[in-house]
Amino acid sequence: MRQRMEDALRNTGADYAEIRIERAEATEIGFRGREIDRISSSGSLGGTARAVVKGGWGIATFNDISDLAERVREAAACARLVGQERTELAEVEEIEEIVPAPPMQRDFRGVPLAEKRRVTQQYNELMLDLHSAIQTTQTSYRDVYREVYFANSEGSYYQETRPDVVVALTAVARAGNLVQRAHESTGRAAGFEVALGLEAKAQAAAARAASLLEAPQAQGGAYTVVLNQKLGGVFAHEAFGHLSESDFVYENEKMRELMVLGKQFGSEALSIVDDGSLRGGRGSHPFDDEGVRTRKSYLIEDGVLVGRLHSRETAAKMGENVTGNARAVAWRFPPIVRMTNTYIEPGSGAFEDLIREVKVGLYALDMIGGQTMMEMFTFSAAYGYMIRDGQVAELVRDVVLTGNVFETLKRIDMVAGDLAWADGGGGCGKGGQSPLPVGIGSPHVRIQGVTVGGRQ
Amino acid sequence: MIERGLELALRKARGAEITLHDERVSSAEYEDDKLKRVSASQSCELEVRVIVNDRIGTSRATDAGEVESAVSRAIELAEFGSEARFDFPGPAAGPAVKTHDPRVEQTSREELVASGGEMLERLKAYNPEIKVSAETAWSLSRGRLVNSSGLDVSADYSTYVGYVSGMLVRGTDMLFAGRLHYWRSKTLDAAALANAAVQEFRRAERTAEVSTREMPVIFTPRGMQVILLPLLMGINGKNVLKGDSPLDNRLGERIAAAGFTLADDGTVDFAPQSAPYDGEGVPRRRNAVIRDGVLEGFLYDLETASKAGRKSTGNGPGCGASNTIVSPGAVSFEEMVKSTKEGVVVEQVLGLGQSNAMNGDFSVNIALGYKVENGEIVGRVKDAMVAGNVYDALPRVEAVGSQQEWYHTMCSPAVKIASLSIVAGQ
Repeated sequence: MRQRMEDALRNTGADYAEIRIERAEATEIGFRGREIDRISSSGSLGGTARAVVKGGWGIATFNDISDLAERVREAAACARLVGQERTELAEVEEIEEIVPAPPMQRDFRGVPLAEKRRVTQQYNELMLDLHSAIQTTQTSYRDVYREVYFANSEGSYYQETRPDVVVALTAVARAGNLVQRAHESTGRAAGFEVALGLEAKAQAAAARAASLLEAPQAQGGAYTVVLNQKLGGVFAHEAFGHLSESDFVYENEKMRELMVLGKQFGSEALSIVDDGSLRGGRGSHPFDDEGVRTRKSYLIEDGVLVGRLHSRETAAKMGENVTGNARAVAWRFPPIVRMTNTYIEPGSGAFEDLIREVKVGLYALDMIGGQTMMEMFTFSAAYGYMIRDGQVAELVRDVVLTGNVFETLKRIDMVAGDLAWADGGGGCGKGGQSPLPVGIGSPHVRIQGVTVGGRQ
Repeated sequence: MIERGLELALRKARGAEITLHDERVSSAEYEDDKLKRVSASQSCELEVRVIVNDRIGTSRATDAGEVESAVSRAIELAEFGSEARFDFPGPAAGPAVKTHDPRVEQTSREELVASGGEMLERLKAYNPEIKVSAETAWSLSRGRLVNSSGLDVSADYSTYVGYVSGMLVRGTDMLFAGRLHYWRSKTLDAAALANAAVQEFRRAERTAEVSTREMPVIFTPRGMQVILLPLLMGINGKNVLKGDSPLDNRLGERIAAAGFTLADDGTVDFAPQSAPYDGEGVPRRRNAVIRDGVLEGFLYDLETASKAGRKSTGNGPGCGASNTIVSPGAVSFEEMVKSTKEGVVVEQVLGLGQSNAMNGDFSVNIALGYKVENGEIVGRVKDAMVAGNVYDALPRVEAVGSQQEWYHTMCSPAVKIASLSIVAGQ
């Protein structure tokens, strides 16, 4: 493969060219209620060639790898329609590495289908049998074994094996017309061991779905909100992290003014980091999809904006250092600026210290999803508890938080010392590329005056 | 090659289906006022489904040459698969629906670049401060489906897409507005699309105050996603069969105000989800779902229909909707606004599908919406949410607009709900 890729990258006529090829094998099992819903196996082989001519990008994606040189020529022909300036790509070290698969206690490719099905079914049954209110379930297992090959016209080459196992557990409880669901998942770049020992998660999902039936909806309004670690991590990722992706910023003067380094962005309690080199993180890789070594980057330090995430192009155009954040979700996509493992650094103190003086507030936990549109963010907690007179009080459902990120970051007034990483199997979406595995971490965080949607 | 795969499958399987799609895509993308990239893509997708001992197995590959290994993988999986008490359909005449416009694939890369550029220029001419993104793209897909019941159908599908959006930053205030055109024939009017986006910026030039309380809400055709996406989950036959849908026992009952009529229609010429057959070889058709407020039917695929004692409605596999059509009413959008003393127009939202959508709940940030006072749009609503439940809202539809508009796979007029909860931010 390497030789063919390198041959195709000779004499392209482009200022820069690269090929990324990916071979993947995946197995998927899904239960819905008592019955198996789907079982499928897929194999794929495909790639993307990118070329730059005078600063303009051309992209060719393909399944047919028989004529790579033609794909690179096609990418270069596309690039020539775009380029009118000067090609600027940050200088990086030339690499030549074969990255082995992360340790797998048990390689899932050798696990019989019957066993994968049995393990999945067992969690499914556990949820269905836990409580009479559980109407149905959605339980899924997915493993992917992915081999990525990368070569560019500067002579860099790497090969990486990326296994991934995800188990997702959803319990659906119903009383009359009221339907409530609760979700737990886990996902890691490792072997079949990821899928084992998840009984407690299954029980937690079923118990919570049943109890949400009894829970009132959160009343709309402004609250002092304490986020648990998982939701704090989603907040850092969704509300702030996406703004630090330089492809939104580098050619937009207004965004550059808004995101000027050195600006006070949040309270002094707040530091946010992205680190793709972290060991064992869900978003960890030694190199990004442009062959740039990953590293730890402070985005906010003590409330001050100190960094952002880059591809080689955005780093060069902004005169900043590369960060190793150009990532592609699969063979059919070019790399774009993405987060890796993003977290709020721990402060000090415990959860109890955050709620002690809150008369009426909301403790929001876990997430269903989150979305941003630059300054505006919306994220949905999976469930919440009212905080009354410094104590965690009754369970509430439908907790949707929204607001302006710049104002909200300044209202973070306390960050506890209990950093934890979300053990979720989900991923991030951007530019049609989803789900990209990312790490999400945070301690408990308190924010003043957050708008909570809901009925009056 | 496909015939060989079918033959191989039938040595062990009582039924088999092989689908092959070859697709080409060409696109030009502008970001931040600049042409950023031109792309060309080629892809192939092979899918095999087999029924062995009344159980189904599925496998996929990206190379038609892999059909034999895909068949053996599917057979291996079928032992553990879901129960399949149905047969793949035999030959039947599909509707005469147009899905391919040869002008689409004749479009050069240069033309895509030029029409994206025209949209960009129009937004810049209105306000040079707006940062513009635009995309023009086409795709051509050749599909063939062959099964063991003697069905062998092929069709060509094209799509032609135009998208333009702008971002206007003033201090820490950012405004996004944009328009999408997505159709199987080459009917993009770049100038008209850009002008519609400009119209959105015009309406949003001023901002207006909104307070937290219940008030009438007008969903524009695009804003109607808030109502339609949860509703489409509710009418999905699989969700009904599993008891997940709140509509499961309500067939024949009134679930919406009179005057609200919704159909699933995969037979509209050149509409995004139109096709002569669904993904299982069942003819696409028009399915009445809600007629004048009364729930008339759900959407089914082969497997779900066989379990529910129904017939496939041509929505397989998966029981998802094809094109969703809300019938027009008698009231113009202008009259709807005029008859509103105080209310909100919802055009674009953030956070769709994050609430308990299966239950019909929505709670979304109004990314682009307008305040109505005394029958007039007075400005853009900022930092506010609209929340409610689709099944509470549908009986309180106060007016259905006279002008339908397509957005993605949905075609709807504006719809006014008598009252919904608006939650204002700080």
